[in-house]
Amino acid sequence: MAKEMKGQYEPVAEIGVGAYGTVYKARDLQSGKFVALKNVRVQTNENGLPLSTVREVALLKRLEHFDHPNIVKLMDVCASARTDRETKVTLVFEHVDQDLKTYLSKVPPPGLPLETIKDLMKQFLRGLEFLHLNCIVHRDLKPENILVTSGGQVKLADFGLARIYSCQMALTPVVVTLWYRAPEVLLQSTYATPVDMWSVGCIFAEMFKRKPLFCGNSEADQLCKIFDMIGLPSEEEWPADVTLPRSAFSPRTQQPVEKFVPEIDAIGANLLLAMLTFSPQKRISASDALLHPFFAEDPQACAKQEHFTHICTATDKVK
Amino acid sequence: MAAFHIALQEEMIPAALPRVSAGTGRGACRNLFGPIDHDELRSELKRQLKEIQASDCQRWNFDFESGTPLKGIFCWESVESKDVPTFYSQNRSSAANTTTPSRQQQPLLVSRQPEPREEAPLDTVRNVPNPPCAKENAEKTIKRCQGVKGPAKASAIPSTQHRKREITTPITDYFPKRKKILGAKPDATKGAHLLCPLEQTPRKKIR
Repeated sequence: MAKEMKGQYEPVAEIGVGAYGTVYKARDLQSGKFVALKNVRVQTNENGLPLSTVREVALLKRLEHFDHPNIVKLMDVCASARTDRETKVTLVFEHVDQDLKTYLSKVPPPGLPLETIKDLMKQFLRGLEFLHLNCIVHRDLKPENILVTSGGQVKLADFGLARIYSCQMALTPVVVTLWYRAPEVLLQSTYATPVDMWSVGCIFAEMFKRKPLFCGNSEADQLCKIFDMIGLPSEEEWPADVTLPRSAFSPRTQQPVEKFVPEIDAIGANLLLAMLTFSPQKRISASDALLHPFFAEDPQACAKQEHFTHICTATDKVK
Repeated sequence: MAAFHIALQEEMIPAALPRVSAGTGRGACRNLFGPIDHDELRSELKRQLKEIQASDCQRWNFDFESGTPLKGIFCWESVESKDVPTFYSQNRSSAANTTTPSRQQQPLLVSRQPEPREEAPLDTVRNVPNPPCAKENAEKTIKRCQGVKGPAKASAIPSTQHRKREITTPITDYFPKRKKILGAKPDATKGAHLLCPLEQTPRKKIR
């Protein structure tokens, strides 16, 4: 593809509509900011777009008014009819260069400094707290859905359009990862905002490990891997309305966090366990997680972790 | 002219009936504000949509209909989806599949499809259990889980079966058929007994 700049406009050739494998990206020549298009196809019936889709788009547009720094910006929603049964909806998002997955893959050993993890996690939780306060359950948090700007700003993406995506998914073979799924989702029990906090826990561990924490290849295998770390929950904790009985799993006890996430410090381990709590009712919320001592600006806290002491001295100097 | 409107109105009534029985939730439609010229309305809406599309097109100097950039303040370029975060690419997981083939081993296909919403009334639909399949599902899972401590590497279900499920379930689930299930088993809503507006995960149809 020839990439010649001709004045303001770069001509692009041979890109078919909805061509897989390409994304349109643009720079606003006035502001210098980048935007990217995301196309979704929505099935329509005789009454046009499904009401649920309209509702979701309205919700997303409403969220935009808050202009939250840790939520990816949705600049516009443009619909164009393709056929009688399908409408193409183009979402204009702000463009961010990389997601957390890419970001983590580029981190050299021995891994991210503790201060960076704290900063990323704080932003991540603030974004999620905002979604939860607005009654949005993300349900598919994973490193691919967390964008990280070149300036280190965290932006959550890919939420609130479950209905639109679900139509899309009916048309395209899509594989969904289980690795960040909460036990109640894997068990197909009732669920709400705590499912996202489970995912946060998995991602928090991944920031230290630089690889996923639980890599199951089926729902049951995923649960087995989870119980290997947190132990088999008690009979009382096991949800009543699920088809999979607790007896399906061999009994095991909780293992030390360090065994699974050797890079983590004691306070971090405490927060991680609060997130990776089997019972959704007892699991920490985004707001409470932000108040956890892990985020307290106390140099003593990070002094425990030997190889991060140099960062602490740096912050001391600032003070 | 008035006679025409009345005729049109009468025509509407039988047309609305099958919709009600199909359970689309539209219920009774009373004509409270006089007759409507549907053709005129339709063409008016079409005109408005065209206007909106034209302004979208102008605002972004991009033809969304054909998916082609136009001249303007936005300098558009087409980039390979691998060069942007997966989130932006049209097929959400296609990039992830190529980079992490392990995720394909036992995919949870279209699991978001029948997933619950924030809207409480809809959740009752999902509480409808599917006893024979659910049982089968549980048995399979138990089999896989008992004695197997590590990952069950070989997928118990051939991938073709997965593919079948992914094509069939979503469509039947998403549109009217699901509502039929609700109508058939209204008592099954008792599962929604929790205090907060909880959501309900879907029951697996096949496994």
